[in-house]
Amino acid sequence: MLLQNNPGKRKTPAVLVAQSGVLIALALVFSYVEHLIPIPTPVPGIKIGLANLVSLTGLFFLHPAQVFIILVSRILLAGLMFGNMSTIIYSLAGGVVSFLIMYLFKRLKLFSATGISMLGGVFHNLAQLSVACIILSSTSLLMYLPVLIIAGVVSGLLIGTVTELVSKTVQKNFYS
Amino acid sequence: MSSRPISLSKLSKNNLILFVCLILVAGVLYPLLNRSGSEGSVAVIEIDGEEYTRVDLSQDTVFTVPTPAGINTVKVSNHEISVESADCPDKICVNQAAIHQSGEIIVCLPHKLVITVITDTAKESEEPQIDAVTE
Repeated sequence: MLLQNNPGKRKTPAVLVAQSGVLIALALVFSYVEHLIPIPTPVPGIKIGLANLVSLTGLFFLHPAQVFIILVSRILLAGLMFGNMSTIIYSLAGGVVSFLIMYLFKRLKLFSATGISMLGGVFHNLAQLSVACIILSSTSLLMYLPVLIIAGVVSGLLIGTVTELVSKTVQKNFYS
Repeated sequence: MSSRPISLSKLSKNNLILFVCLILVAGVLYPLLNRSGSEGSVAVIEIDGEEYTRVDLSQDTVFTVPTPAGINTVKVSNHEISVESADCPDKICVNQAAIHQSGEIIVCLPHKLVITVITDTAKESEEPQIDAVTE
């Protein structure tokens, strides 16, 4: 069910805009909640990635371009509201790379949402670590790599599991 | 619908394989990249990839590190080094716990500042320096 394509009816521009707006707002709230509750972690930069719920669920129901626009808008807005230029760069790197990986593996149909989400989490962290290494022009951060892989897997598991539950409800209420 | 349980269980099996593989990769990388463990004696402070100074962890001191992007106040006390205050926007470096084992690092990304604890007897650095410079 999760992996079936749901083209649905062709959406009018108005529906697309309204739907994207609501989902950007939802993702923004997730970013804000996460920003409000900092979790003490051994390595800075680890987070659950609640906003990824929107991108991941979106991948199963919406056109990937729409999901991508929602993702980038959310990152830019969240960065302007409670971040700064450097947080935008890190978030964009992580967000875009994990989106591409998740889209690729969704197309490959090898894994369910949980697996796709784990890969997304891991690659999100890999991308951010790479950007950090480039900005610092130092490889000392590489010692964080194993911890960041584990963190990506764990947050991916959480987000993926929730996504599978959410997708069932969305499927039932909007696509059947 | 009848084929769903089979395909789903196949997917969960793939998920499990992926999970184990990712954990294995992390497990293999961990000993390769993490050289911490032994008690460190010197901290190297780098700004933008260039070494700025070295400090001896046995001497308690508080000093400021002026980087092109802002100022970090570094504190050495009790054989541990930490960032006491900084004018960076995220304060991640300030919130990090004090470090003392060799290989441990504190990073201030906005200021491009990296503090690494090393053991100077291990001669991990290219040029064997006799002593740290304390100011």
